[in-house]
Amino acid sequence: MNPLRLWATVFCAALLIPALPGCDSAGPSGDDSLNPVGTANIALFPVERDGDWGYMDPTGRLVIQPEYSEAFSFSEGLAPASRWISGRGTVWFYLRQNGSVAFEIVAHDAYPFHDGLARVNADGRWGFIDTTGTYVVNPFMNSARDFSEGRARVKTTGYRWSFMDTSGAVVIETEFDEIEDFADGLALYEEDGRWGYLDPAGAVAIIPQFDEARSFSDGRAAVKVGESWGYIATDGQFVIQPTFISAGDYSEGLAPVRTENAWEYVDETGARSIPPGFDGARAFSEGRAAVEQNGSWTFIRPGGGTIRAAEFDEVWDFEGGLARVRIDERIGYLDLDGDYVWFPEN
Amino acid sequence: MYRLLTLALCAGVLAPAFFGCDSANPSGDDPNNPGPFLPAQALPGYPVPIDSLWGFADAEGRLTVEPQFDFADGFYDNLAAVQQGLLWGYADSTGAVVISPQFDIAGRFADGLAPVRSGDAWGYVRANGNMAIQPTYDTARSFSEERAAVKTGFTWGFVDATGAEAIPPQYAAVGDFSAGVAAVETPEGWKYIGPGGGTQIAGPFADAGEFSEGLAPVLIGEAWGYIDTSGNIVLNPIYEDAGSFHEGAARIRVDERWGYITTSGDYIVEPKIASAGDFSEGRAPVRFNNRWTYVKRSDGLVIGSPAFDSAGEFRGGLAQVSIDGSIGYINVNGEYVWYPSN
Repeated sequence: MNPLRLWATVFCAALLIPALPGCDSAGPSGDDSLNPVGTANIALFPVERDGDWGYMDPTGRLVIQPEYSEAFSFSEGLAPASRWISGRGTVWFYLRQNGSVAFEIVAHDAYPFHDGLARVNADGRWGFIDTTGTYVVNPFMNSARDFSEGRARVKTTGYRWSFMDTSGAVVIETEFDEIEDFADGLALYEEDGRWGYLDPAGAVAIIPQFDEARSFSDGRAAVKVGESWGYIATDGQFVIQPTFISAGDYSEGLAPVRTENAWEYVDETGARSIPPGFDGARAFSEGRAAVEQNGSWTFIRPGGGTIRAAEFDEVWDFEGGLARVRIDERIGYLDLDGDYVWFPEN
Repeated sequence: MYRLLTLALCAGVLAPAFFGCDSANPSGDDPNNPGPFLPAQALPGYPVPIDSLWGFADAEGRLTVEPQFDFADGFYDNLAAVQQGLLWGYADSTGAVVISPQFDIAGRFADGLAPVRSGDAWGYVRANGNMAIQPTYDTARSFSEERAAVKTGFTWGFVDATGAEAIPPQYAAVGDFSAGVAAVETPEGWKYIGPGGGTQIAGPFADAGEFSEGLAPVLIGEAWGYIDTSGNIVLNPIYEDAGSFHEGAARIRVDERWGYITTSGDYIVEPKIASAGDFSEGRAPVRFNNRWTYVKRSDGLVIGSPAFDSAGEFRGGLAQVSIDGSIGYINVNGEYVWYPSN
């Protein structure tokens, strides 16, 4: 296994997490109430042992033996994990939470399910499969991204992004080089150096007018005007005037922003909630937010206190009550109190 | 090499199954309710290689004839061409050699006859091993509708089963007979003739394919369309390339990509395929990039990832595929019945 590829896999898995339906639900802090529908029932987590991947349960017990060269997180009840089989090639096994194999598919790459469909790269072309492993979009496309809010960003036979619905029909053809997935019903795009948003029909919802912008999260999007970032609502109106040097996404009622030299968190009115003190800061997930201090990462609670000393080279957001962390090349898992469920090992 | 030649020569034989038209097609692809396209009477055997020798397996993937041939083709009219040493003969389903290896090339049986080459000349052998037509032709194709295309020098004609030249060699190129006519190339272009040689559809066309299911692809000017048996254009010439209809679907090329249309010209599969073969038993081989899989006639979706270096037609419920130099057989769901071997 090429280590770069492996890391790309792990990294991509982390990126997918925020796209999970339900992950962005706002709510009061409190561990149980915060577990949204899509993640509350996650029973298994990928772990690496001696270079091979298996899965542990939430208590850190290895329940699927490490016999896969790649392994993704669970999503919509299934997780793809792969290994090479002579005479067939790279075979992806979509595992159920009880460890049984739901189906297998030959593919270079296969990703977790979103909106009931998973993208697979077979022989260099992309298609979508359903949860029985049956192709519902033939593998003819040059690129494909995960479904989000019923739309998937794809490049079919050309090199421009389109949006496909879950029936496989292309519903929006775009001519933009830069366009993001739908979030809160809007897709961020760039035209002539300005950023705006499209609606699900492909019509302009918010005219490109921002110098920089992020996708919507919790009904708000960070946008930059001149040198400062603020936040707009889905109607395009500012809800927090541009005053920040940098700005992240709202989640669970808080957003990381940078004022002077440090990151802090503001509440929905823009008022300071957690004072500045971080070199880096990400959005909250399941009541915890990843923050960077002196080049290392840890997590904070909504009150601002850390759950563990900053000692990690990389962290992934909490999902299903656990967060993956990395020290050097070793992967471990923390619980919401910062205790190891899986100690980082090779 | 011999095999390639044999396959090419005999490609015309693979009797297109005239299943129901499009309207009879179910929308789903429930394997328990396969619809009209899964007929599939199992063949007497399927050639399989084990350690470079070929035997036969049954439709369930059980070895029925021990590996003993240097090469083996599939069964046609219950006989399979087999190679022993340098020469070809024919074996039955038990593996018994019923026509001893004596030919340099052995084609596929149809209408009780198979084209064979001895030395430089082609003739036809009967299923009992007797020569029906002595080797006299420079090229010979399999029979179809009691006519076989033969070539003498630079011209093609047709013989009947008695060896009589029903249509003496006179054409630069010919197709095989189907629906009572065959396309032939004349100095004026392509036209269709009947089994007696008389002109049936005058054309002329720039190129012409075989009739199947009442339609034939013809090249008109720069583009392919389809005519009916009266010679009327029923699908306008708008395609870069076009094949005959099989199971109510024809492969066509648009903007350098293949797709499939119904007899009314509607797309079953949009033209997004790099290479495409004809439907048989509800499946057609397709290539999107470098490797092959199959699309379903019912919904135009693939049965599995493109994984094969080659993909043959479905016959008797199975298709021969190759992967990394090994030969395997899959069923209509894409599952191996014979795991790739060589």
